[in-house]
Amino acid sequence: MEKTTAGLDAFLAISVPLTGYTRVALLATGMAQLYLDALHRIIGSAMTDEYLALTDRILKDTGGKEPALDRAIRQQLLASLQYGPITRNIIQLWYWGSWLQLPPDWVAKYGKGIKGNDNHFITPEAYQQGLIWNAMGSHPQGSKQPGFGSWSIAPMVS
Amino acid sequence: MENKEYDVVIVGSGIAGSIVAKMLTQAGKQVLLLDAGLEAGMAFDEEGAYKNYQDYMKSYFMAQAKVPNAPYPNVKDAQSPNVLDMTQINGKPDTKGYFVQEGKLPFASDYARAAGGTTLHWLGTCLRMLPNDFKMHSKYGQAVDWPIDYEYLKPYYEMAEREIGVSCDVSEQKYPNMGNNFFGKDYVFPMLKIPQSYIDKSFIEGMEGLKVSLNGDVYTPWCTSTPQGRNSTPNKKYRYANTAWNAAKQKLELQPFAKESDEYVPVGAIWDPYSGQRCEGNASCVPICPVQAKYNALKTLKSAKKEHLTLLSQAVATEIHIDTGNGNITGVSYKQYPHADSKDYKSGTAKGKIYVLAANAIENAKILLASGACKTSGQVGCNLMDHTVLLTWGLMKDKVFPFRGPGSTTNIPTFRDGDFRKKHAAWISPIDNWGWGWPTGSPDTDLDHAVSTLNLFGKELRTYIGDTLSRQLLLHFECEQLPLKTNRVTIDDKYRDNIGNYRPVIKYDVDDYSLKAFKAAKSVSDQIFAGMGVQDFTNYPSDEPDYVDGFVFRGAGHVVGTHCMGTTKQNSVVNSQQQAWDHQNLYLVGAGNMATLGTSNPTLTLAALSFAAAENILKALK
Ligand SMILES: Cc1cc2nc3c(=O)[nH]c(=O)nc-3n(C[C@H](O)[C@H](O)[C@H](O)COP(=O)(O)OP(=O)(O)OC[C@H]3O[C@@H](n4cnc5c(N)ncnc54)[C@H](O)[C@@H]3O)c2cc1C
Ligand code: SF4
Repeated sequence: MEKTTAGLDAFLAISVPLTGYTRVALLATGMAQLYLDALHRIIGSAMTDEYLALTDRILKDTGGKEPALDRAIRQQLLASLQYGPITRNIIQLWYWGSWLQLPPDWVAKYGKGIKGNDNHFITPEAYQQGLIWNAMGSHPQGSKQPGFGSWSIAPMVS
Repeated sequence: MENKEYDVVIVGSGIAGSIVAKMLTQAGKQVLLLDAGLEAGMAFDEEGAYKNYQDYMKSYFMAQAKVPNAPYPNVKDAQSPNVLDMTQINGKPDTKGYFVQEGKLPFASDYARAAGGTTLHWLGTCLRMLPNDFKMHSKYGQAVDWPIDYEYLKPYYEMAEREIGVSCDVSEQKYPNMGNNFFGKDYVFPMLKIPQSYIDKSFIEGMEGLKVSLNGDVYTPWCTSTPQGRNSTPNKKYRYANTAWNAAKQKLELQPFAKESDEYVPVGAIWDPYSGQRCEGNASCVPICPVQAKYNALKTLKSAKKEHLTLLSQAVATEIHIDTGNGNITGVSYKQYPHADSKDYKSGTAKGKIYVLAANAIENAKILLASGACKTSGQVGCNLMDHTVLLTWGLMKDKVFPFRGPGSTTNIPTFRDGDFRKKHAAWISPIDNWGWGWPTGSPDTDLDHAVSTLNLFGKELRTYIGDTLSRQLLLHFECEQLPLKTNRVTIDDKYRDNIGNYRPVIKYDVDDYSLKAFKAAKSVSDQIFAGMGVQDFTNYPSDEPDYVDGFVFRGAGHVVGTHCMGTTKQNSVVNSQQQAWDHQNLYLVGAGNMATLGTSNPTLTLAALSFAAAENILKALK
């Protein structure tokens, strides 16, 4: 239990620079724990913990400051054969709510025997909480309806 | 059930079947309605209706591809076609989906076999056909004339607009060659227009003053707000309470409100009249309106007179029986499956004085073919039509904020009619409110591109999405298709479903009349984009299912033809009464009766025709 909470902090901490949204905005989706659970479920706890230890180190080493943080995220996460696909999946989870199948090469090399690695929305709420809608000044199709006639004026974009 | 003889047996609970059921039961007739869909979909008690609809919603949220049929159960015993199954046909029939597609091109539209039918996932655009659409042969030397005309349908259009609950501003409706009495003096719709989108406003402004050349003629295209079957603010000037049978006059009539103070009340969700009283801007009308602000046929069915209506669900009509002596129909056989995907079923025969097939154009044709019915003309299954939809898309100069509001709230009607129809198809151009969703699968495909290809993350990613997705523009060019004998639905013993019923075998192609329209429409699009400074991203990859001669078209979901109405028993399947020429007590309803397609989405017309059919049936039952 304790470990999950610790993991959650680390997961949220790296999700902030990965998504461009604040910690509060991410918490407000109500999805953080479910996404972290999805990582544990799909790539396994060992790799999840390893990943979060690495992101924790990145944040500490760079003091969370630009441009060092940006460079570290690019070099150590996105450019990494092992962690790049996971990082992209975390970004897409937040933005779209769906897990994207990790490619066969990745599975062969790093994830033999992993389960549940198919394209799927984590829960119905995951789709509804996708950040992409807010980013484009909209709302998820089929949810969070903004009310009669709202579409005829420009949205407030935060 | 077995022994009871009803006044009328109806097959199908879509808008066509539901309108007929409502009119007949309210006139006191005993009706049995069979539907192929699951029992749960037929629930009209608050709790059952709500629970079932929430299951649809959940399937929608969880579906990776949010295609029209994504929310609805695809039961093996009464399969529905799915657009995801449509691929190029290379020489041999494509049998992967429910349709057996023989080509050359795949028929790219679907429908829903569930209670309420395809209106569960329709968009709700409710345009009337134009007077010339009924006279394609005498006016333009193309196809055929209908045996009825616009004037005949006009009162029934008004009934349909009431039943569906259409929101529209009459004064804004301007169509080519509409004549000066298209709507009739003082006519108003039940509700005021649905507000036009922010995109529409930018678009209308951008197109102002633009002249467009087409075949050497110069046009000044204009935009109009689109009539829609979704709830808006009631129009106080609207004065009709309902449609009812006048036995003395042997007519269906719109009934005025009883009191001066009465007003039109929008019809809400089937589980709660206070849900969906206004369109709330969920922007998911296709495939599902969460609050049922958009019309679906369950609303009509729910308002049928219960005491006179017997509903039978999970009952797939397979065949009608014909008295070889007088040609009359003596019964409808059906297979009732006990639960979804079950291999076994119970057989039954439903009996009535009159029979109505309302299973939609493709399923109606299948039942007729399986029964050897309506054979004289040799036209059953022929003349399958759809609007072939050419899409063009680009980025507007400014942010227009798509993915909001109903799917489309404005259209360009300029090319719905004109002399050019002697040479090529007419079209209507809805302006789409949902970005590039249809052609490119946006927004998630754009997200994936940004993350995986552009290597964006964090604030840069957020800004990129804000800057590009909010500028997406999509135009449709929905081109009419002519009725061709060779575009047809057939059946084949080789192809049967889970419980031994025929699957539709489809032969489909587009002719020169359509191809020329694609070219012309693309040229119009190019001129509009250039004139408005839209960055064009349109492309037509040669591996798309309906790639032809450098263009890609899509299906509109407008499944029309297959048992067309005509002037003689040799040239058509039904007469102007929508009665089968060959079988006195058989009526066919739905878009299958439409002799030509025109440029309006077909449902308002088929609904109007269904009122006319109900009237004819009531007269016949006298
Ligand atoms: C994505 C999409 C968007 C659309 N948007 C619009 C629009 O904006 N405007 C417009 O005018 N039209 C639109 N349409 C078309 C519209 O949905 C149809 O024209 C209309 O719903 C057809 O109504 P119907 O009652 O004839 O058939 P359906 O609605 O298809 O109903 C047929 C019924 O028969 C039942 N059935 C089928 N086979 C059997 C059988 N063998 N035995 C018993 N029951 C059977 C089915 O379960 C169903 O309930 C759209 C279609 C699609 C796919
Ligand atoms: S925009 Fe929303 S509320 Fe309005 S009809 Fe469409 S789905 Fe329903």
